[in-house]
Amino acid sequence: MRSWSIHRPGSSALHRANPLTKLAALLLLAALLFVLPWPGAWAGTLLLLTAAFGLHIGGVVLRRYLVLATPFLIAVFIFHGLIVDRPDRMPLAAFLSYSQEGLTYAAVLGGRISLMLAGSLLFVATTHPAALLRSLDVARMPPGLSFLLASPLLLIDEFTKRAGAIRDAQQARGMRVNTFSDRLRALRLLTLPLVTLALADAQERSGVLNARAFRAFPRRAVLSPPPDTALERRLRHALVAASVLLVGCALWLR
Amino acid sequence: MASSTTRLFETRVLSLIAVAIVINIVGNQINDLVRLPIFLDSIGTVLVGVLAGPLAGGVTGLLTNLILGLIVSPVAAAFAPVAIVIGVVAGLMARAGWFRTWWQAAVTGVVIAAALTLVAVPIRIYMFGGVTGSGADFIVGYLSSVGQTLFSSVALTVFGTNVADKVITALIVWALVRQLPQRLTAGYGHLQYSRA
Amino acid sequence: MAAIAVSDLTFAFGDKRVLENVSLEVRAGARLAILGGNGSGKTTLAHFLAGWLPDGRPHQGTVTCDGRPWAEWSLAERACAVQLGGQVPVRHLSGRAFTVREEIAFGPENLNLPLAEIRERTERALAQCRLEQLAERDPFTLSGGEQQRLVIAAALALEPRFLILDEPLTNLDPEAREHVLSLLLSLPRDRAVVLFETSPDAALAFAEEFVLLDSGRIAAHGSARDVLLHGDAVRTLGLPSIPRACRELGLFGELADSELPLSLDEAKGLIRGAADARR
Repeated sequence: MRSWSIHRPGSSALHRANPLTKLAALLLLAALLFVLPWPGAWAGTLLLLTAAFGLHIGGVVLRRYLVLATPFLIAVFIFHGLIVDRPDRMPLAAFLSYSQEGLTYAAVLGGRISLMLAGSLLFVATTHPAALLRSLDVARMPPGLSFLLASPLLLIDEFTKRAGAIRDAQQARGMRVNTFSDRLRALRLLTLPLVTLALADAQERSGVLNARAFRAFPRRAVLSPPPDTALERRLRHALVAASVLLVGCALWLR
Repeated sequence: MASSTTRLFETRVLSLIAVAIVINIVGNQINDLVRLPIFLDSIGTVLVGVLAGPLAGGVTGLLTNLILGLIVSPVAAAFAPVAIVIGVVAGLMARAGWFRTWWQAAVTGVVIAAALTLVAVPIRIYMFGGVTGSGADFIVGYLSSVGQTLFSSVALTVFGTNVADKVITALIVWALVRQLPQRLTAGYGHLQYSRA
Repeated sequence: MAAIAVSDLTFAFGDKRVLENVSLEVRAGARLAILGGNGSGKTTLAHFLAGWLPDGRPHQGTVTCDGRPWAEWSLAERACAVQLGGQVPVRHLSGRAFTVREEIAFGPENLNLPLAEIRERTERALAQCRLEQLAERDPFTLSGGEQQRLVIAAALALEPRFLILDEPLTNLDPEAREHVLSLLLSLPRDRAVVLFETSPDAALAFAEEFVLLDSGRIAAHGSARDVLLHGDAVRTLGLPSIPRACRELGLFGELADSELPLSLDEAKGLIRGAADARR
């Protein structure tokens, strides 16, 4: 398991669904934000978080949701409910005031972000990056794209280790971080070796990719494509069409 | 090497972008030690802009934020346009010869900060209501409470928190590019515009 | 006969001359060891043999495969002809595969081969390099020796006629070296293998033909005796372990370096010969 991953293996319908289908569902979720009133967005969030528990990924999804959403929610409610100057404001104390309108606006923004966050987390927790990349290859996306998504994910842990080693080495050599100019110098001492190594890696790897015929053809075969069915393909098209329709209506009716 | 497909990027640029994305993501951790009040999350983006041009720089920024969206917080993905602007502007400034000397690099840093503010402000206001749940929110809150409009509070905060970061980032990249062995940079044609 | 031919190659990185008038031929099925110390130009020559260089850089001389310069080969053609493995195996991972099996399948997938063939090649390479147990592991979490075997497996899955390995044993522990060396010895004879090495013993264990590279020039070329006991080789790389042991034990003090035994059998023969002569 890689350090950054919140993917949890499983066999639920959501786990088994083709990653592209799940992406299309996320698109629909984003389109819904245009039309859903704020109580709907919050209800949707609750629904998705509950669903996560049904899929046995509730713990990891809820924890991540709280870590990411809480600071934003606090900030948005305080800022719009208590600070921003609005026509209906009622002074409380010092620069604080109470605004019903502001609180509602905070609920609208908070609901939208919450819903998108919950949806994205469900996607990430049930989709292994490798499956997403294979499905991109199968969908005939340029192989360069899936490489650019895969390669950083694979290299993060390696580079984190290296950055740590460089830091230890420079500290052992007596690198100081007291004054401002110390820190600037330290920054250079830390980044130069990291970037030099990275460029050496990049150069060697581009040789490896060419040697293994990467992008020799516009498409590549995929040894074990993620499962996909005609029904799912039709569902995907429907989801995309519905998203376009929703956004279109929302903009037209506005 | 004979190539049988048309490509947006050469493979060497592709593998450069991949490691640059990782440098962006890991840069944060370096800063944990140095404790400067900056983000240090776009060294890779600016580096690619200088070495391989605005398009490659923009793609580096875009994918950095999409990947952060995948592994850290989907909020990062919403700010992908900002990251694109950083890479594109760094590439354009380098192309115009504004990465040759240290003071030019510093000016480039200011230009990058100004350009990204133009893109970041609408995203921050319309998607997030001006706050994102980070420390900078206190500045936005303060500026609003002393009578600034939401727009100017956010714009001042975004520019103010970014200008030091982008100037330092540009200076670091300037120093890096001068010190890297020729063996490693030989393949990147766009670098010719930044040679002193 | 198929061959990679290097003729009169001279190359510099900036103003640093790395290769000078190198001429060499790698014939089909060869078992060639190219020896040299650090900075002798091994890696650069390996890159030229595999078509990674000149990469548009200025150079003199030519490198051809079957009579055509590498620059005229398409990516797909070259991938099937030659593969290169390097000293730091983690740098030779594609950076695209989340499992060992995916890493091996990466090349054949790029060639757009039929799925059945990709599967067959992948499983064969897994077995050849004894990686079956690790097939679902993350390539970046393997040990150095495992990664080196994976790099070789990924190369083999492309079924190249020439396999170039640049110091594949250098960063490995003794057990992993043994593993990789026995893997190399087990490769089918229709593949040419070029092993770049600093260790005369590893070269001796594997190769039939030897080249000594010294400061970018070919200093010796021929049999193990011609090359490994050549004065320049002894000076830069030291003696292989059998002749070194003979020297340390004070045996054959009357012989020059170039006449020392290279194997235990040769040493026994010489001792027996000397005893017979005394009798």
